[in-house]
Amino acid sequence: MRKYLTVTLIGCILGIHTLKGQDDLLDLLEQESNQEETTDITYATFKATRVINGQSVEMTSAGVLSFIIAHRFGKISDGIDQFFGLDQSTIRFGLEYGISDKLNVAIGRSSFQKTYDGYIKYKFLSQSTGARSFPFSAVLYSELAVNSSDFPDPDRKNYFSSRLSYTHQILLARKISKSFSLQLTPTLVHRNLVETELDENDIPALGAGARIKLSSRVSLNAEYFYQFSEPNREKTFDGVAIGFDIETGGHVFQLHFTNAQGMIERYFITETRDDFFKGDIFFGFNINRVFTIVPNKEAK
Amino acid sequence: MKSRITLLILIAGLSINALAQNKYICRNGHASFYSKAMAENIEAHNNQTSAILDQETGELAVSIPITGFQFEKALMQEHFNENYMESGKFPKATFRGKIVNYESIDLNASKNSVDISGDITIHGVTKPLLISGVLENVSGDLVGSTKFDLKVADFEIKIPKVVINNIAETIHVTVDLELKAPAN
Repeated sequence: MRKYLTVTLIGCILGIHTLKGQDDLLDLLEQESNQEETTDITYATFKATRVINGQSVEMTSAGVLSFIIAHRFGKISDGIDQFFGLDQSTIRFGLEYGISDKLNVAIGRSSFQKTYDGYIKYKFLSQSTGARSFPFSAVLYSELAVNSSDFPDPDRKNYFSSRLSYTHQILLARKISKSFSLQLTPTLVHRNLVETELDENDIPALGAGARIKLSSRVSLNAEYFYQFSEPNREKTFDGVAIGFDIETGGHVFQLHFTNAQGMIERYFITETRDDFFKGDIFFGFNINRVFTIVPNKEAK
Repeated sequence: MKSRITLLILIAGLSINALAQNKYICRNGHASFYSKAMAENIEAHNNQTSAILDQETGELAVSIPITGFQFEKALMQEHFNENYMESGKFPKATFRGKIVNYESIDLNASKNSVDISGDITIHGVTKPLLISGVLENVSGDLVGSTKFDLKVADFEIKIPKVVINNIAETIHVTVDLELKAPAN
C-alpha cells in the first residue's frame, strides 16, 4: 500500500511540473539567460556634466561634442537700477569632447578675467549593479586656467606663468536612488600668483553636490565648496549654488542662483567675494547641447 | 529503502531535466525598432534578445533587456532608458505566446509560416499581441523572423509635447531569432 502511495505521489509531482506550462517557460528562459548575468553600469547620475558651477561625474560620451554656454548676471542685490543684475553679465563658452566614454577633454573661455581654460576628465571607476556591483563613480579632473587680462601692477616684473592656475579634483558620486544623487569633490586649487604674501597659493577644498529629481526631466541641484584655508576664508566666502536642471531632447538648461561670479574652479571656489546669505546672489544659467560627431557603431 | 531513495532522486532528476529538453533556445537574438516622425527617424538595435520555444506545445517566450538597445546617439540611448522606458523599474520586455494551430505544423519542414498569439509586456503594461512570422529549419535549428507594430501610448510611455514631432505614435518592430535545436 505504502509503495503505491509513494509512486502515485511522485507521479503527481511530475504531473504538476508539466502542467505549469507557460509561466515555467519564461522562468526557464530567465534561468538560462541569467547564467551569463550582465553588469549594469549606472547611468544618469546627474543630468549634465556640471552639478552647477562644479563638475559632475557625468561624462560626455564617446564621439560626442558637448557645447556649454554659461552665463552669470550681476548681483540681485544691486536692485532695480541694474535690473537685479540682468544688466551685467559674464559668459563662458566651452567645448567638451568624448575621446571615449571614460576620457573627456575640453577647452573654454570666460569673459570674467578673460580667462582661457582647458581640462581633462577621466572616469576611472563606474557605479554598477548586477554581476559585478560597485557602489560609486569616481572621476579625475585636472584643469589649467590662463588669465589673459592685464596685470594689476604693470610696473612689477610680470611673468607669463603668473597668469596660470591649476585645479585638481577627484569627483566621487553615488546615484543613491532613481531620484537622489550625491557627490563629494576633494579639490586642490593652485594659483601661481596671489595678491599678497599672506595669501596661500595652494588651497585645498571639499565640494559637496546633490541632486533631487522632481520629475523625469526636472531636477533640483545644490552645491557647496568648503575651503580649508584660514587666510583665504577671511577674504572670501565659500561658493554656494542652488538651481534647477531642465532637460529637453538634446539640451539641458541649468538655471541657478549662486554667490560666485566666476565659472572656473579657481574663481568660484577660492575667489568668491560675495555673501550668499546676505543677498549677494547672481542669477545664472548653463545651456548644454550635444552633437554626435562619431555615431555609435554598435547601433546596427 | 536505499534503492527506493535512489529511484526517487533519479526520477526527480529526470523530471528537472525534462524541463530543459524539447526546448529550442536562442541566446543572442536580434530585435530592433524604427520610429519615423516629422523631425527625425529613430532606430535602435538589441543583440541580447533571448527566446525559448517548446517543441511539444508550440509555446514561445521571448525576453529583451531594455538597456541592450543601442542607438547611434548616446544621449538618445540614455533618455530612452532613463525617461521613457524607465529601465531601472522595468528592465525587460517579455512576450509569451503559442503558435496557432501548432498541431498542423511540422518543425522539420524547411519553411513554416506561423501565427503566434500571446501577450507582450513592455514598461510594466501587458497587452495581447498576434504576430505573423516565418520559421525556417536550417540543419535542425530554427531561424525565426517577424515584423509587427506597437503603439507607444498602449504601454503608458509618455512623450512630452516638446518632442512630439520626434517620436512616432506607432513603432515598427523587427525580431530575428536563431533557435538552437534541443540537445537530445
